[in-house]
Amino acid sequence: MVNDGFEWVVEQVLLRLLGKDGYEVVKGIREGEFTDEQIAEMTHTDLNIVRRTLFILYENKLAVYRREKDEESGWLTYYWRLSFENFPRYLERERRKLLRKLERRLEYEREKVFYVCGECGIRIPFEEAMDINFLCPNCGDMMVHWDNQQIIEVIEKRISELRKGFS
Amino acid sequence: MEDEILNIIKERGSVFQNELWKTLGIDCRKCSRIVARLLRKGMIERELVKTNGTRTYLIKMADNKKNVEVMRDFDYSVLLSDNNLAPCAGCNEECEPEFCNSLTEWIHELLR
Repeated sequence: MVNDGFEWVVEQVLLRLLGKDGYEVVKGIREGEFTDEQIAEMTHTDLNIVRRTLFILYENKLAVYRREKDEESGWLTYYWRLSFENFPRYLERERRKLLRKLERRLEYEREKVFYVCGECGIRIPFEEAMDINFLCPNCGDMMVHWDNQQIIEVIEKRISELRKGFS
Repeated sequence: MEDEILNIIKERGSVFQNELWKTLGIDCRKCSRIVARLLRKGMIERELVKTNGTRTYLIKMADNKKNVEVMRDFDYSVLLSDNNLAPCAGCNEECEPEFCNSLTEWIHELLR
């Protein structure tokens, strides 16, 4: 189950990072080294999409290339290979990113008082609610005070879990 | 120089580090630095061996399959709510987490 779960995480991250087209490219690449043109042929994908995908993967250290120079023409051929062994490191960076974002969100939740519309669920900080006389900007209904203590607690809990793994 | 090293390994299948720098005509310290860089990138792997009574490294291209097993050990649960991956993972948008709707929804999922 854990392995299945991990593969699901990898799939979701790749879909977000590369989009559906890019994900299909990754799925279709066989093990080994290939030029971008070979990959396009192998995955039946447009060469531009393949190049874009390889570039994003390379930027995130999830693909590497080796160059070979043609002695006669001086042309460089790039041979690409997926380096998914770096995936844990990539997820580690994403974990740190999530931590940073949640810390900022927590600060915001702590320092603001919120008002919510019971009808459409819109939530706005006290200062903004006061400017519009506590009337919902969407439906005009009266806005009421909203206790965000549970939100604060759940963010604090996740932040502490995210920090645990860090050395 | 990275390319040249990779091409030599690719061509020969494996190479001893103490032969590599001689082949390339560079000094051993420079060679070690480049090898370390390629190791960090996960492009090669090496093992300590003894050849002609000298200890050196045998360098090969990295074996992806082996490394996939290592990555399964990563604890990814902190990136998940009940069922969904945190919207920040894999997201390259410039965002303000104070107002990100996807993040808000995900935080609400954590409450369930």
